[in-house]
Amino acid sequence: MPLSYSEVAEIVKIVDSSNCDEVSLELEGTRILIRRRGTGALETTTRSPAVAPVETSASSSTDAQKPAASASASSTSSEGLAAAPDVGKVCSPMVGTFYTRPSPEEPEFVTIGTKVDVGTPLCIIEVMKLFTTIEATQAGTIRAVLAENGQMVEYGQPLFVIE
Amino acid sequence: MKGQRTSTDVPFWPDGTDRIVLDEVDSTMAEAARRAGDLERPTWIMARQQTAARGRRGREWKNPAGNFAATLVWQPDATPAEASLRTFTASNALYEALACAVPEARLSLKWPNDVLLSGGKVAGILLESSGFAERLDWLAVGFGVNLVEAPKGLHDAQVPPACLRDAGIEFEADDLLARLADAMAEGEALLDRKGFGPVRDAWLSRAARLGEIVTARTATAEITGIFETLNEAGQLVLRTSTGQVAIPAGDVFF
Repeated sequence: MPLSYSEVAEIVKIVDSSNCDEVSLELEGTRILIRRRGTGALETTTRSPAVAPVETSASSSTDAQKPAASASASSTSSEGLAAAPDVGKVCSPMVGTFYTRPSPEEPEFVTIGTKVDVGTPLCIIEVMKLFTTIEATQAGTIRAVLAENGQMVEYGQPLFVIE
Repeated sequence: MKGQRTSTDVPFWPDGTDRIVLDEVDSTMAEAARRAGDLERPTWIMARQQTAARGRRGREWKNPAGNFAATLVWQPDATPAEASLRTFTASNALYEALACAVPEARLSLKWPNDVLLSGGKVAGILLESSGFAERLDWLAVGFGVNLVEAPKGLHDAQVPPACLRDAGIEFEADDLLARLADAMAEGEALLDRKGFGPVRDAWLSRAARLGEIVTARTATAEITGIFETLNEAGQLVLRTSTGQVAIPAGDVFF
């Protein structure tokens, strides 16, 4: 049974808020392993998501394998987060124009330090008059905004770091 | 929102699609976003009057009474890039619906989805969606058509506004909705069955200024070149003095 992207994000959120160190799910050809990175993070702080990247072992191309559902384990500086490939980053799902505000007259969706939940609007990407509001895939705090308002962004380009 | 009713017995109405007709709403796009999570099937929302109509990036969309305003909203199994191709199925569908009453020689399309009547902008199409990065929760395609009155006082218009009545053409909103819904359903089926190729071919056959010099204004640049084609992603392809440039988002000026 292929899992949707939002279902995977929800699973990560549930594990993040639990006391579990590791959760393994196997659903008809797709295996998901969510593991905390070390034991210290859990004991020292509840602010850090402290969830290791979602790992999948299946060879099928289900949505469960999308890397953006992962979260940072222990980095606390924006430099460290930005340097960690794909961990805690929200990436652009398409080529298009990146907007930080719903419209030019309104405030930004989020800025560095904004606390977000799964589903919180982060930005808009425009391509050919389709305006897509991109939502957070994990709860946490915005640690970095990696694109400029009005900038053309590429597919897969990191846009935000969420810790 | 008030005065909700569902009309029946309109010819051409496609199977598997619902329809809601409102006397008044703030904006059919806003209403679509509010209802999106509860809808079981693709649904058209039409309003006789919009009190807060909006266009691209929150721009005001002037919507005098008697003009057409409707949004199709559904939950497509599509990535944002796949969903963006609906900009072309939508403009093709509106072109075909209007062609029931308007000679095709007077209709054309401007990238990405404006419908022109004798070179003037007679309609606007806006697409909005929301979701996690890779899959959309919903997609809304909004149509505004100047049936009886062209908006006045537009300061950022790329082409002059136009309206059907001024051209001597009468088109009832209910009739347009039915024909548009039918054409949109056919366009979706074509995209699903044969991919973007035939959709793009149809769009290009109706394109204004194909092979001529146009200017595209993006958020950060202005690019002038010969309008060569659309690429496989629907991007505007211009031949400039420095080579071919593909443009994914922006406004086109003639």
